Amino acid sequence: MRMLTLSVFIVALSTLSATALSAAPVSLAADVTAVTQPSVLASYARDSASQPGAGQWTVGIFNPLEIGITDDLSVLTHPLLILASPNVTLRYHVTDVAGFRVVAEAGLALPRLAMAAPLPLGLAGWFFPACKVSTHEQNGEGTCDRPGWILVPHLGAVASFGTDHVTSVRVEFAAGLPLSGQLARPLEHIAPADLIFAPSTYGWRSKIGVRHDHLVLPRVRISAEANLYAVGASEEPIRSPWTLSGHLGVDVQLSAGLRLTGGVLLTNSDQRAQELVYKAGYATRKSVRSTDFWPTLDLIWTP
Amino acid sequence: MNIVSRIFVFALMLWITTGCEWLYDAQDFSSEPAPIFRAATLTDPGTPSQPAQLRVVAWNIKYGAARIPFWFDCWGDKVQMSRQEVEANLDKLAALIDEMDPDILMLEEIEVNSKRSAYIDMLQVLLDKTSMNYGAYFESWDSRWVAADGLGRMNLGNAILSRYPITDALRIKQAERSDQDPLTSAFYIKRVIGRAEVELRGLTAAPTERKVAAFVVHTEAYDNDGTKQKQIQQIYDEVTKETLPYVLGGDFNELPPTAARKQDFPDERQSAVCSEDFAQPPYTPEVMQPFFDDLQPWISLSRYGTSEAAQARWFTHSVLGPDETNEAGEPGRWNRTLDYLFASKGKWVYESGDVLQRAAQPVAQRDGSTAPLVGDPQRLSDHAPVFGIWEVQ
Repeated sequence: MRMLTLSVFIVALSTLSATALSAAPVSLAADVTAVTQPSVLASYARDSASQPGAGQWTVGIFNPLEIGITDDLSVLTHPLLILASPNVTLRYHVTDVAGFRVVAEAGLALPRLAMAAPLPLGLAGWFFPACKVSTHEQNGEGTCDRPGWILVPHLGAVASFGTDHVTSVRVEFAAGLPLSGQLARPLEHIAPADLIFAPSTYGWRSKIGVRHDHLVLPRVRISAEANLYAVGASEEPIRSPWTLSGHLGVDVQLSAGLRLTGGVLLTNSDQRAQELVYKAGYATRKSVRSTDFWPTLDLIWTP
Repeated sequence: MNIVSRIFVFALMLWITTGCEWLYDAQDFSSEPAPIFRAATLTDPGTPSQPAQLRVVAWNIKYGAARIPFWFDCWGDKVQMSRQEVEANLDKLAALIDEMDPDILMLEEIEVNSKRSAYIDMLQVLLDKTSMNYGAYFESWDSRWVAADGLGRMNLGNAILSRYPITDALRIKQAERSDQDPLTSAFYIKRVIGRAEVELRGLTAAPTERKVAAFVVHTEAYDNDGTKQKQIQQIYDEVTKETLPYVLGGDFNELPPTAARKQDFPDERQSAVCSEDFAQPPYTPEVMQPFFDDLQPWISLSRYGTSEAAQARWFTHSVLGPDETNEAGEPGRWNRTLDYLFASKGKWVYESGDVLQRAAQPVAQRDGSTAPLVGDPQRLSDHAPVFGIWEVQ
């Protein structure tokens, strides 16, 4: 029962985390459904340079809402996070070169409430301080590490090649700019969540990734993805800023407009883990990287 | 699938099957060996005389936080310390340890890789900065992340440090709480009894069968289902079957059986501010009676006294330090006894048992004289160290 509870919690958290990095479709397993012909939804690759056509849109439970303004310009936001972290991203089709469609992205997020408000709006009291005494006494801010207001702008670009079988390359950079107060304390655990909040905790996050999406049946796609992340310097003692991730996923078209996605996300990062090393009967501690896998699951609707 | 895709998938599968770390230590054991560490530089204490007079200290060091007001104490909101804060506090702890000059030191609430204490290996730091040579670590709370106020990674436990070789160390599981939801329970602190065998010889002397056992304990503080009482009974059962001469020390989170005050302590908040999770349940001092009846306490009940004023000299705990005030504006002061030393065979040197409560308090020296404490225990932890000289064959 204990592990079942824990498993449900982890699935929910990791899926949300894996699809909600910053305010952009930049996540580890982010889903951006390119839809121009909903009846053949499965033939379009997610998380690529494709965009909804003018007037079309797509949204998932955890995946973002993307609305096509023109055939070359779309606007994107995460509805689930809109209160906790107001966010918007513009995606613009810049050019086509050597068979690649290239889209530039720029966006903003304000994740203050995600860090400073209690559940269900934010994670204060869980991943961030609740500051109950300071709130009660109204003079205890000296011991409260409540994060300030932090604006998170981000820039990125994605280039995709192919139609049935799509290969994409993505680069992006996000920074945390304190408007007041201080950056939040880094989580240093649950790699997907650590990366989501990285601009607000480490000061910045960058990513380079490659993804291949393969049509294997008329209604089924499979995908594989690898990413390399870097984040700003940690507090002492310094930890490795690098995170490697991989994702294997499958998309199944359930109906003309509905897609079920699932997969497994793997992360390898420095989460301050240690192991004991024995010599002559005595122990010493050695730092090791942590490797984890996380289930991802979502339903994406494209009317 | 082309060759690149095959290699990619193979690499991912390999990744899945290697290197995973558990989310928390579920402690699926009844007892198991505990790791033993040693100082970077060893200092030979020489072989003790016959009988040996062992200086013994037990101290809950509050994970090197000194008097920083942490959130669960409900007098502040601190969740994490900087490396500089922890190192400065550890320097003061190490200095006071060397002033007490113990042969056997039992520490509670020591951390080795916790986010809140800047991931500092306190056991190794204290081994390297004091005259202690060996240390056994008994992990009681090992979670990759604790989702409470940003606490994050946690590795807290108890330790037994010794100037003499530790030849064996055992971690014994204690009863767990049953009054928590499964998720909280999974990531919550588990309690353990730590046992170490100490060989009474100098570092260059040949191995000997002249050994004593030391036990360190730290029982539950916040349960409402009788867990602490079960743990205290388990401690009694465990130590009374020990065959070696032994000393038992630690934070029992329980009052002595004759405690004059049992509730309404001055460091408790009158107004509801924090979670009920950290409210103090009623004490049950009678559960400590068997230890005073059947073992040798470092301070007898007759010496402990009957009035609160007399007992104050032996108080070991206060949530508030002398530089903080409660809601009535009163500065913090030691207000209850929760920490103890008990021995089996042998005896405590007459009136050597003490609670080192404040700076300038005289502490017994090895040559029989006394010297005033330079360090101030009131400002180094929310518990005072308990000290005694145990004479054993």
